[in-house]
Amino acid sequence: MHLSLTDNVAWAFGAALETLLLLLALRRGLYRRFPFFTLYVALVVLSEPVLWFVYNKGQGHLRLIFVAYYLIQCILLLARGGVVAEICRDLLSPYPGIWKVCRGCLLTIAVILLAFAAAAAYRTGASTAVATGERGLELVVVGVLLFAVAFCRYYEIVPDQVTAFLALGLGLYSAIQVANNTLIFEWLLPYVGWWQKVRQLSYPVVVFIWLFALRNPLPEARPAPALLDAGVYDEFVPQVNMRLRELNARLQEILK
Amino acid sequence: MNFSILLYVGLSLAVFVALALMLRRMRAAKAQPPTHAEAPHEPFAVHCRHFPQIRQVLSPDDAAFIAQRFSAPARRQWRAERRRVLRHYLAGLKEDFAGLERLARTVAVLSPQVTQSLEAERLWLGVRFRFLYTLALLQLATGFAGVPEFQRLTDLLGGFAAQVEAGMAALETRPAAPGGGFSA
Repeated sequence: MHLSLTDNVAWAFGAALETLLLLLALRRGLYRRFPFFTLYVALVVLSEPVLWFVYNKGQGHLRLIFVAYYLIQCILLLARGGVVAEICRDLLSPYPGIWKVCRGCLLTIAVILLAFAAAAAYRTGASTAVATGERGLELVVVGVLLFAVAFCRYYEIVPDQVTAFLALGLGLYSAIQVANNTLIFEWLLPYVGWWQKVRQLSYPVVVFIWLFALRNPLPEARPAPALLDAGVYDEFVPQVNMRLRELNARLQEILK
Repeated sequence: MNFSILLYVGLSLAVFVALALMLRRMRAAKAQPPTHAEAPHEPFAVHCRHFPQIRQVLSPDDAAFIAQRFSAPARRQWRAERRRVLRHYLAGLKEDFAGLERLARTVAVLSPQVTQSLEAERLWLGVRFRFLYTLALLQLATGFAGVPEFQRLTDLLGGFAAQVEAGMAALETRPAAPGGGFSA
């Protein structure tokens, strides 16, 4: 495999952006609030020269390139999983009651999607199993983030700018990977080169989003919300639910 | 078309939309500080209190009077107007429902412990109410819902409003837990 001058320039540009992001993350002290995200960016930065070396020096050793690429992807995906968990925790954990409930739901969703990914990878042929598995794992990232955002919307929790942009970047990248791995095998095989460019370009776009998120010093940590007495929920919410049930029944009567 | 393609592409689109919504919401919140730590505005059922006027709109006496005195086009206009008023009233009831639901969500968010089954039930009830509300709107557009049904619905919301107001009063007088209360 030979990289052209354009490929090398694009690679160097991407690596420079990622390094800039890591430096900015360290400068802003992001590791205190998002240690997994900082670790993930550090792993990305470290993986770039390794991959570049393998691509350039491993000419004629496609298997070596394949193993190196997917091994690194596997490590990065695990780190991304950690980042997703971190984002969910940052969004919902200040509210201990609903965090306990949402955490269980998000874990269940992750397990279901993981099982779906494993089954999909198992069903497909050996040649596409790795890409199918990768797609499934990216889908876990997308699915969990999506539900975390849905919970925030339902409970009217407003995320701060940094968390929102980190989630946006991560979701965007995973969504592109999912679409990429799906479409490429179904419809776009003749355009594989073009689509690969989309894939390569998507990461610098995401890095720009994260750089934008870190353009200012991190905001002060929000004070923990003042919580109600534990008995208020038990006293109030069952009554509300009962009334809402009745209200639904009446509305249904109107429709009869 | 392959089901998995639809699923994957659909989910990809959904994440774009959801994250964009989150960002929009965040921007809106920046302009207007979050209201989470405060009690929601007008959480009590207010629209259902206008039921006497609605009863008048629905009165069969009015219908008989109009039928005797007015031409067919005027009667049609009157019926259309009546449907419009009822649609607005139904929308008001929906607002009442949403306000009360929101109050319950606020209590859940600010509670140290919540019950999964109650949360799931309220979520389901909200979905169901919105579905039934849409059906009721369709019924209004095509036919007509009678006064007694509307009255029962209104009485229910009115009773609920009183109960919530009493609950809120109890919350305000309750000795706060360490750092407790609605205001952060």
